[in-house]
Formats: sequence, C-alpha cells, structure tokens
Amino acid sequence: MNGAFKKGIAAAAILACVSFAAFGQAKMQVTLANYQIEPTDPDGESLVTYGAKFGVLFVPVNIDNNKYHEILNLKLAAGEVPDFFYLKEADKLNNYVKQGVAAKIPMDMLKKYAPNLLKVLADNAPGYLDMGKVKGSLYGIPAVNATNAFHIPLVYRTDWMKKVGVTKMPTTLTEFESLMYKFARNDPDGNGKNDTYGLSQDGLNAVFGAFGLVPFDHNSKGAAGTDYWLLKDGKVVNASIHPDVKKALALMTKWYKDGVLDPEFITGENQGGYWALSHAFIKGRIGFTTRANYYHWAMPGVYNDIAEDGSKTPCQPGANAKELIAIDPKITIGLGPSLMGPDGKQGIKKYNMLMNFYCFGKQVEKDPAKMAKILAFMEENANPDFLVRNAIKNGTRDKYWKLLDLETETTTFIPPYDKDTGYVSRIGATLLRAELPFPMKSPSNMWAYSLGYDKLGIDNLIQVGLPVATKYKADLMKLRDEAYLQIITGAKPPAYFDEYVKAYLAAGGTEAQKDAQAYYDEMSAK
Amino acid sequence: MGIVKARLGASGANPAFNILNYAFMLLMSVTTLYPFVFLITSSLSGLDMTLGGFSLLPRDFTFTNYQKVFRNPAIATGYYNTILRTAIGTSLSLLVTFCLAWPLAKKAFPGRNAWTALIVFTMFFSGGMIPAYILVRQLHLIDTVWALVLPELVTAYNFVIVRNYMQTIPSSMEESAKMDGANDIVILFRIILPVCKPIIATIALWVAVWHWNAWFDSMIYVTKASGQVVQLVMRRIVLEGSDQLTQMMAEAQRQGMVIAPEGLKAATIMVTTIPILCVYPFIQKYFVKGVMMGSLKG
Repeated sequence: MNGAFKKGIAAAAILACVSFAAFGQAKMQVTLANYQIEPTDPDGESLVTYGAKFGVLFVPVNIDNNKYHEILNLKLAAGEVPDFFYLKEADKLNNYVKQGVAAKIPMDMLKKYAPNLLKVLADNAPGYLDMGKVKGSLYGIPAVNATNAFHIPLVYRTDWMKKVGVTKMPTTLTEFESLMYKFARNDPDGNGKNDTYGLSQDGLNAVFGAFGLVPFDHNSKGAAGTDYWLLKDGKVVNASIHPDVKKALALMTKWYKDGVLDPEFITGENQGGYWALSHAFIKGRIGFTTRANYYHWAMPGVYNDIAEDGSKTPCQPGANAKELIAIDPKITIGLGPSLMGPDGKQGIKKYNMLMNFYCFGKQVEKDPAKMAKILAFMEENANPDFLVRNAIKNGTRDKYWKLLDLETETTTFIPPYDKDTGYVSRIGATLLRAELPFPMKSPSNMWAYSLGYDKLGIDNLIQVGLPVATKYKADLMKLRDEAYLQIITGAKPPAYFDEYVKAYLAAGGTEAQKDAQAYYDEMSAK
Repeated sequence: MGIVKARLGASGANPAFNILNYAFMLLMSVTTLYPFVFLITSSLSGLDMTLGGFSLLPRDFTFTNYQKVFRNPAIATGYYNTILRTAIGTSLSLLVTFCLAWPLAKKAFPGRNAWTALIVFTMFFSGGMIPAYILVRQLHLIDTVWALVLPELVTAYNFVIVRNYMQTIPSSMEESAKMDGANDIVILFRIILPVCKPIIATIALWVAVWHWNAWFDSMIYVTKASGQVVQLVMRRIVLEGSDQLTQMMAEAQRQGMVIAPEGLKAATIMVTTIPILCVYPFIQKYFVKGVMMGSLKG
C-alpha cells in the first residue's frame, strides 16, 4: 500500500517534469487525434522522426477508436481541441463546423503547402474535395478509400452449383432466381436434409442491384448505416423509397414464402466477431452472399502474390476463404458478375469511397504557421514516391517493412510486425496518416480488375451527411427496415410499400430530399 | 428422468409444482451458465466455435490462446494497473466511507441530517461527465492512478448502507467502552469495526468488483498505454474487427489484416474475469448477512 502511494507520487512527479520539459521547448506543438488501434507512445518513433523533419513537437491525443466521437466530444467540450483530428463518421462534419471547432482551410494554403495532395484527389477522386466544403468553405480534407471503387462481391458456392447441375455463373436475375431455388430445394450439400437456403440478408443486395438500387446499407451492429441517393428522371431520390424497390420486394416476398430466402435474414449473416465474416455462408446454410469485400473471399492461388525472393507465389486465403477451408477443404467458391434485371438495369452496391474527414482545430485558423506544418505531414502522405509515403504510413523501411516489388507496390511486414497490427499505432504512424486514393497496383487489386469489379458498381450520389438527412436518418431507417421486413415476411401486402413511402416523406423524408436536391444542384453546377 | 420423477413424487409435496420448479431453476442455471461454458470451450479451441455446430467440446483442443494472452505485454501492464487501482481504491474507499459513516450514524452529531441529505443528494443528481473530466484535469490527476480512485472514493449508496448498519449497533456497547477509558478513535477501531465485519466484507467486495470491472474512466482519464487497466485492453482485443467503419480504415492500411481469432478473445475474457470470480466464494458468507442488516432503513 505504502509502495503504491510512493509509486503514485513518483509518477505524478515524473509527469510534472515531462510536461515542464515540453513547455520549456521552443518547438511548436501540434496535437493529433486520428485513427488508432492502440494508444500511441508520446515518444513514438514516427512522431519523433517526423517531428524532427518538420520542426514540430507532435503530441498524441489518444482516443479509443471504438468510442471515438464520444470521447472527442468530451475533450472538445472541456476546451481541448486537437490541432488535427479526424472524423470517424463523415456525417459529423456539419456538426463540428456549426459548433465552431473545425478551422476553415484556405485553398491557397493547400495550393502552397500541399500541391501533391490536391493533385492526388483531383486525379483519382475528382469532386471529393468539394465534399469537405460547408457553405462554400473547406473544413475537411476527405479520406478516400481507393479499394471501395470495387463493388461488393457476388460469391457463389460453386461446388453446390456443380451438384445442382449449373455450370455458368448467373448473369441475369432470372438465371440467379433459378439457381437460388435449386440451392434451396435440390439438397446441394447432399446430406439428405432440407436445410439449405439460397441467400440471406447480404444476398439481397444483388437483387436490389439488378433494379439499379442500393436501398440499405448496414454498417456494423447498431450503427445506422449509410443513406444512398440516386438520380431518377433528373431528380435526387433516396434509394429506399425508389418505386422500383417494390418490384424487388415482391420477388423477395415470394422467395421467403418458398423457403429460398433464409428466414434468419432478419438478424443478418454475421454473428459477431470480425465484421466481414458471413457465418451463414461459411456454415453452409446459404449458397450465395455479397458480404464484405472481394479480397475477403480470395481462395489460395486465385491470383499470384510476390514472394520474398521476387518470384510469384499463390496468394494467401482471405478471411472468409480461410474459415471455409478450415471447415472443409473441398468447398469451392466463385465470384460472379452483377446481375442484369428485368428492366435492363445492371449493377450492385459499392461502399462509399468517402470514408471520413481530416479537420484542423479552430485555433489553427489563426495560426497559418501551424497549418503549414500540419499540411506538410499530410503532403508527405501524398508524395508521388511510393517509398516516401509508405514510410509515413507504416514506419521506417527495412525495420518494419521491406519492399518486394516497386512496380506493383508490394511490400511485406518484417516479423514480428507481420502479426502485430498495433505497432503502427504505438509508434504514431497512424496519427500522421491521411488515406488518399492512389492508383491501385497490387496483385489483389489486379484480380478485382480482372473480375470487372471496378465497373457497374452503383455510385452513391451524395456520400456526405447532409444536415437534414442526418437529423432524421435514424428514424427514417427504422421506418424503412420495419416496412421492408413486414413486406418480405408477408405480414403486410406489397401495396403497403406506398403507405411506407407516405410515412417516410411525412417523417422528414421530404425535407431531407429537398436538402439533398439543393446540395446536388450546387455540386453539379460546378 | 423416471428416477427424478419418482423421487419428487415421494417427497410428498405437490409433485407437479416441484417438477416445474426444478425445471425452471435448471433452465435458469443453464441460460446463465451456458454462455460462460461457451467462452471456456471457445478459449480452448483453435478454430472459431461460432462456425461449428452446437457443441460443449472445443473444435480442436489447444492452449495456444492462453499462451498468447499471457505473452501479451499489454495484458501484464493492464493487470498491474487493475490490481493497483483495486487495492488502493478498495482500501481507501473503506477507510473514508467508514470514517464518514461513523459520526453520521450518531444521533447526537450536530447537523447530521443535513450532512446526510447532502450526500444522498449526489445519488440523484450528478454534474455529468464533462465537469467531472474538467475537475480531474484541473486537479492534474490525468494519467495517474488517482484519477481512477478519487472520483469514486465514496459512493452515497455504500455510505447509506454502512451508516444504517452502524445505527443498529447498540449504544450501550460504546458507552461501556467509554467507561473503560477508550476514546472515540479507539472505540471505532477496537469495538465498532470488529462488529462491522460483515458490512466491511460486503462493501469491500462491491468496491473491489467495481474497480476490477471499470474501464470507462480509464479510457477517459488515462491516455498512455502504460496506465490502462486490463478491462480496457480486453475490450480492445474483443472488439477488434467488429466495427466496420474502423475496419475499413484498417484494411485500407493493411489488406489481409491479422485479426484476433475468436478463441483468443474468449481466452482474454477468461483471464480477466476469473480472478474476481474467485473472490466470491470466500466473501459469500458475509455477503447476505451484510446486505440484509445494512438495507435501507429510516
């Protein structure tokens, strides 16, 4: 007990000394809050290295990413506004601007201090910088996920297909429907029991996609998900009330009744743990899914990676593929194209490429010198030289990672960091990181291109959270989910859809629509 | 089943009621025990248990999950911090709560009701998280163990229980001690505290369990990895990969992510839960007695 007391006092004394030392230094301090999996060490290697390079003292503001916005808000309310912080949820930009915690970022500063950053965004994600604008001024620099240019995968159990006598991947909704019925009725797993279904919740995306729609997107459990906006006859419309949804729902109702749609679709395919897993698919309950990304479904050897010695080597299995192999190595899967619907539409959901925003604390607005320093490390992330930007992303070259092939930008992590995802957070690399859309060159990306997954993804017209839409979002999504569910399970007739649309518009949908239209008009005028 | 039925029938009471009763209790026990058993099997399994069928046995038996947990340096520092806060927090809480409750249990103490009301007031109204955070920061407690100990040093609920318990001690006991020449401090420590053993055990258990399980204060007040408690580390491991928004960020960084397998998560939960579970049996005999006697009375 006494020892503990002493230790506490000693710790307090050390802390006091450290903070005194920090104040004693003449270097400009820049506080950083960004994505991290583990807390960053204040003397983290990346913070020290880049601090020396840019002549600043980088100070980590450690915020647990799983409660990021709660804790960031607490700090903001207590007057601790980090000089640089990211928004985990892109929807929040408007709020932070309104509350006066985000600084205006002048375009001439960007042009002067971050020309490569502007170029990368303009070249590979035109229009995305505008998403960070509120009332004409830039407040957030967008983080853009290049991989999300690929649409979600259409994954089939090809061994089941063989069993039910189908050799060709479905390309139309009609072919798809017939296959789903066979999966449900022809005992594709050969166990003599009627215990298989065609598809479950994620599989519905393929059906909606064949009508050119993405009416719902559920993020991880509990989160409200993303709103999808589409263009219909030149007008912006929320995908969830698009009239064609009715046609898709009619099909689903039929499949539900016929036992083709898994009755457990309501609770989803993922039962917790790693988000990308489809437990229903892995357990052999369903034969089709669209869950997660294409790379989660890569079976060993579907493409070649580059080995340590520069030679080609079969790729490692993706997360879902790994589990399938563990269950039965004889299972085979295949990735098919998006489906052509009865109205000649073809497509499927793709995730928003806009992931989040990087903002500067309000105090930086009046401190151009500090803003220049922040832009300097963001610019480092945009460096045309892959080796330079990979060093700020993953730490020192040949200590944490080594280059295998420059052309495909393939690197490998040096043990023990290959099994340690947290090191990038500990050394502070993640705090200095900006996610930017560079052209994709890796073998895995090439595989996705070869599948044609860069085409026919349905773009979300408005990826940024608009104030009105965000305000009503949770309520509207609840309305939508209840209506869809009741129609699919037959609790309500198909005509109930019209009632739902009325209720939706009355509950704020009209306002949200108007807001979205205004935003779209303003953006397309540019 | 037949034997059970015969026995229940032989007991003389209404057999239907008994069977129903046993069945219900059995069901209750299973529903509370099964998740725990599932975690144990999961922690001993190399493969993901959620992907197999229903089973009480691990899919492949292995101790590697536990090996990995014990090799994780964050678990070790977390453990140290948790034990530290639990030890300091519990002992200080007990000391202060008793020193506070003792005078306020005395009918003769001036302003007794006003003081008590002031303390009970905090049960219903609090300043909220932001003022609490600002206070802790102004006191320069951030990143110290005191940020985890001082804010919850005395809870009104524990105080009321202890005070009420003390009020049941006959004043004659104290008077006789006084006649023998004992002063108030001696009376508190030599006479009253021994009589209070059950309530001490109860409060100690409550406070210790609270300290053991607490993580949110550590998340807010401790920003360095070296000061974080084990529950926070456990939470981070268990939640790894479950949040799609976060995960897409991570995967943009590193495709082919290394995600903690479910078995490792289960093992982490077991390692962080078992110590506090072990405390219960030793304190249980005081537990019921203490709560009964200290329960809310005028």
